[in-house]
Amino acid sequence: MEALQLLKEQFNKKIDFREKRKGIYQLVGPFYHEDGDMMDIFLTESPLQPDKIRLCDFGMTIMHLSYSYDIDSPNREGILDKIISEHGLSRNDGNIYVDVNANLLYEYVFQFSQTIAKVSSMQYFKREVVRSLFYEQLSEFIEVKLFSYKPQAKVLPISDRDELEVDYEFSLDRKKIYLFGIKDPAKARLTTISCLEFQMAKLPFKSIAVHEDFDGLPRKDRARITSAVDKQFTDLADFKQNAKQYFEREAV
Amino acid sequence: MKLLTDEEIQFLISCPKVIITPPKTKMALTQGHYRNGMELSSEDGEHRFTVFMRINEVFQENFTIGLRYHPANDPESIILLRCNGPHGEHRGPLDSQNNHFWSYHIHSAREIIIRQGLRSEAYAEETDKYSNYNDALSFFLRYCNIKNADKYFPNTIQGNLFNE
Repeated sequence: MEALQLLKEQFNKKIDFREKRKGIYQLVGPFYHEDGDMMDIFLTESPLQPDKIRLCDFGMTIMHLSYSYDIDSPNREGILDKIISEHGLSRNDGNIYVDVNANLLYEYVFQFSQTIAKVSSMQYFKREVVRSLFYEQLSEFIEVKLFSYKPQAKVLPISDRDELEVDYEFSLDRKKIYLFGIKDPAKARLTTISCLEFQMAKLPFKSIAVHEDFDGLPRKDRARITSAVDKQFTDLADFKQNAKQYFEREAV
Repeated sequence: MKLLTDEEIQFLISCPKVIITPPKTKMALTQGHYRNGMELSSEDGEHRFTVFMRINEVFQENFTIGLRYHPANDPESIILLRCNGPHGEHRGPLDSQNNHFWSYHIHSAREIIIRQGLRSEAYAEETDKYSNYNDALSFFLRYCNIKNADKYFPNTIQGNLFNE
């Protein structure tokens, strides 16, 4: 293929090609996944437009992604297709591809490698990674959207009980509000104990629990915390949607 | 991500394991690759692992068989081992030695790599332990010390003439 020679020249001979199968050339260049494996970029004659070159990955990018993250729902598939189409590429089942004129190969190789990198970064959508961001997302929302209610982080309402820490204290005119972020059963139990201790110490306060996933808690933990706290938001979206109204009502 | 020492990594790879959720009898084809998987537990029940197996539909020499460790108190899992085919070039993560190669290779977790915040299994070495998927699977099952593997992979285990 003349186009390969041209492409090699354009890359100042820093790339090369290996014939993977007859008429299918794998690009050997400085494009790597995070695990050190080279990105899989192949060049072959376009089966649809013989005057064009097809850049494709023969499904290797999605296969590589699948070690950590599966495209197994319409939502995930929608995000994948959005990434691909926004870079001017297409997908046929697992194969990401684009048919281009030879004179555009140079820029499309970059475009293609960027797309592979973005598709590969979908691994960070993993539930455990997103889940670990719960407290950060909660803090960010409180400090930006509830700033006017003077949030104070990491407060000890009973000074000599440092195990009973409140995530955020809000000082309204007549009362204090203690807010707890909860993403697992252990934190739910600690919140339950803290609220009961504060009640026994006759502190004037109202308590809020913001859950990462209320329904995901064991039934007994749900029952205990429901009995102990004054107001619960079942997830972060619920809190983000209704927190301001709640604080406006409480501030009266 | 949980920080593991090299000794812990080697222990986790080699400790006796049993298959608790078996693989499917046939690999499923989806999105351009064949796939299968299974769940393992250490024989003493202390540690949980999953195994993922992939073969590219078009280039069947492009495969991987990976061992993922799921720490009990950490939601983030860690890939400890991946047996790969010669799908393309690999570049070493500690690249002062310019460690590039293009052949069958084994990725494995390393403490120094995890400490640097890189992908746990970014380190890889060339291997002559296998030269196709079935041999790689046989090697993997033995290397990871999966005790009841012959129940689910009888042909793979028995068919290998070149045990280590």
